[in-house]
Amino acid sequence: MGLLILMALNCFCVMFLNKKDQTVAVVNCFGMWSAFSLMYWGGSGVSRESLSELFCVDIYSSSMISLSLWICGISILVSSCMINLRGVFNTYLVLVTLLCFLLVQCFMVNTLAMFYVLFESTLIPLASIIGIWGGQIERVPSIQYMAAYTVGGSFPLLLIFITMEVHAGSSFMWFISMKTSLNWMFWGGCFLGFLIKLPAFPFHSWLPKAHVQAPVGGSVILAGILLKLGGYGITRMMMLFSYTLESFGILVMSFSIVGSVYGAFMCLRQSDIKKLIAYSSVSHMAFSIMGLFSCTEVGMVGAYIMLVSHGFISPGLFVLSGINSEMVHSRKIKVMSDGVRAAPSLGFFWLVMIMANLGVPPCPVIISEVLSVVCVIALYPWVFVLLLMYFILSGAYSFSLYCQLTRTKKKIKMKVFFNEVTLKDMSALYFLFYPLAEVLFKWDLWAMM
Amino acid sequence: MQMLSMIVFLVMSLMASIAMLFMSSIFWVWVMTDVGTLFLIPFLSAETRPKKSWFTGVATYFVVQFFGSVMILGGIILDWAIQATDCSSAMMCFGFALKLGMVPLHFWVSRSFVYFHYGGIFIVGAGQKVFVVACVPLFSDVPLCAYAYYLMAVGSMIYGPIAMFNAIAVKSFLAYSSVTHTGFLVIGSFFGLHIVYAYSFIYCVSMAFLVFMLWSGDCKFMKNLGSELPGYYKTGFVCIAMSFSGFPPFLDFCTKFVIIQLSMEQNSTITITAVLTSSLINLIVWVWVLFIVTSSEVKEPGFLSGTTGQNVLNMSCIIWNLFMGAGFSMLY
Repeated sequence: MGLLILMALNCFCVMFLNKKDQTVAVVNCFGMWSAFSLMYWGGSGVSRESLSELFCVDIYSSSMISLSLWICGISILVSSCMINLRGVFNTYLVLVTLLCFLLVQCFMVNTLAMFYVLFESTLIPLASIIGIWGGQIERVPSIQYMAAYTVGGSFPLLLIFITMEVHAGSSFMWFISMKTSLNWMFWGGCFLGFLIKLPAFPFHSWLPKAHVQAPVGGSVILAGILLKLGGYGITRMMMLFSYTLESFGILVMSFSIVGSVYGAFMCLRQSDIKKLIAYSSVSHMAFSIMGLFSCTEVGMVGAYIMLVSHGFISPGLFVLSGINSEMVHSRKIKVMSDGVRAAPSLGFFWLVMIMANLGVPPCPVIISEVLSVVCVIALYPWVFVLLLMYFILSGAYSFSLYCQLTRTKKKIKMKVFFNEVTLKDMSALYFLFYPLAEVLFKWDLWAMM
Repeated sequence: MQMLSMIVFLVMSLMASIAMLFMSSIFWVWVMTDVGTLFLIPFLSAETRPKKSWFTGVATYFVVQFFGSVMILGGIILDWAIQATDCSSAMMCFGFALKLGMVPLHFWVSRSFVYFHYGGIFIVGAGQKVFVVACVPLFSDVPLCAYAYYLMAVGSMIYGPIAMFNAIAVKSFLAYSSVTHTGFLVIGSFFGLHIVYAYSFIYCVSMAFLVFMLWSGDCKFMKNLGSELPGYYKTGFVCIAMSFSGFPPFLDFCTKFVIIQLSMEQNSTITITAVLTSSLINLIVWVWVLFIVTSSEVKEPGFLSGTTGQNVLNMSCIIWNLFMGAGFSMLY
């Protein structure tokens, strides 16, 4: 509650600043709120600093809260550097701050009813961001896709919490029910909305459309935190209904394994950088799903490492793609190589982010992948063949991407709009590297003691 | 003078409709319904610039309402004279469904609305319908008629938003929106009159805001909404659109939530499916409308740039859609 009050008060104070100072002020506010949110990190169990009638926070929600605040700040930072963010920038600040406010509450609330309302409400600011600052007319169908998938997929969840309210009188999330035998339709209803949000194969088709149409800041938020709502929701539903390994979970894991290979294969075929990053998100989120549905502590740790790490790496890729595509006014990978040749430092940053995305040590993604693979193989060893295909394909598309971006075939004339990348442009990227190191050293934070 | 006459006839129609709510006999309900409809005719015919089109809309409306009334009266007489309950209920069910414009008897709604003025659209599309829905007998002694009435309401809820997607004219869009909400009102009537009254109030106020904004911009075609809708009303319109989309925590989500909750208590699976399906299609439609409205190439005044009255209306619309949902949920 203290965090929300602090956020509200800070926003009120920022309103009175000059418009040109507001951007810096808001970014600083996000930094301060992120630091404040670290108070909630108390290891396993409920955080004492968060206890109130409406809110309750444990390590899973506190890590998501900190991620939300950090990523929303990065989104504002990166958008302030973009020249293609037309219109009134203050509207963007308001929308991102509102979205962050809703997200923080979403990760803190006690009841499933409020969680659902906030879960759906986060769609409004994002749809507004895509609608106002999206580049093309196709942004309208992309928003319709995103809204229909997300809202439609969570209708069963709406029915479930209404049932809880009607029959039990409350949808309090921290009541842990006795393990009962519930059929696959119930589990499908519980998890469908979150699986679509993640997004899980085969419900992933909205994500590439949304990412392509969104501005850089919107993609940062979508990839960095909004997808993680799905993972968090699955965790809470499992906790609430004492979910253990069931046939539904095995089906979901099977789809995820196929989805990871499918995502990596689609990345190989992409010429649009944003679509490539979107499909790579589909692949990586598949590992989170495998970890969560394995119902093991190892799987849970692996899933959350992936969720948090991906929350920094994927936005980093989008930031780089935003800077690079602004230089050449195109999202085509082959054209973006002109920008890398004009600003060679970009090539280095691309290499680092692609390696982090691939899971090259010391990036924490490798820990997550190993833990998730261990969980899945424990169920059925021959799955290793498919996972091996994923690792080969992900290496192939990463290598191909880097080669295309840094090819040195000389052209007569390079078409770039500016050939210098300054510290200010890259500041967002630096702020994304640091938390990865923190995750690497504290990777066992989500282990239950 | 014309405005005065419009107000007078409207007030008389309203009085007849209110009197209808207190009638205990179905015959007097029919009488008051028809009196209310008759007083609406001059109101609907009033145009500041008379043209041939008003006649088309009003005539269509009058003929349909007359035919519906004949069916209802026929049913009443049959029941009184020869106690043919099945036949009389069927005739009354048909008559009320025709008057309300429920699927598949909705053919007249769009044809009439296109020729009405915006005041007429609000009165016929929202005001009159809520009174008629409140007085319809639910045919509990003839289950077949009750099911038919119920299924027509379900059909209206699902068909309405699909037709809204294909609407070219704004008035046609409002017509099908009215069909959707009529279905919703009728479904609510199966759960109790208190739901009907609550949702009627909410629907009327929301439609009043919507219709007023569209009237102030003299909006004709959906594709031109972005340029025709005044800039100082756009924020309010966006709030209405988000509410009708069904996004929480806006008002329309809360009303649908209550209906679903009641349906869950009574294990009414068809209602739940219909409400959710309708909500999903509505979501897609209103997202489309939102983008038409917000994508304008004309540089125009923005939020709080109108006169005091316009700004107050805009703010009231925003507050109504954003906060009344929570208020309604707490009250309910």
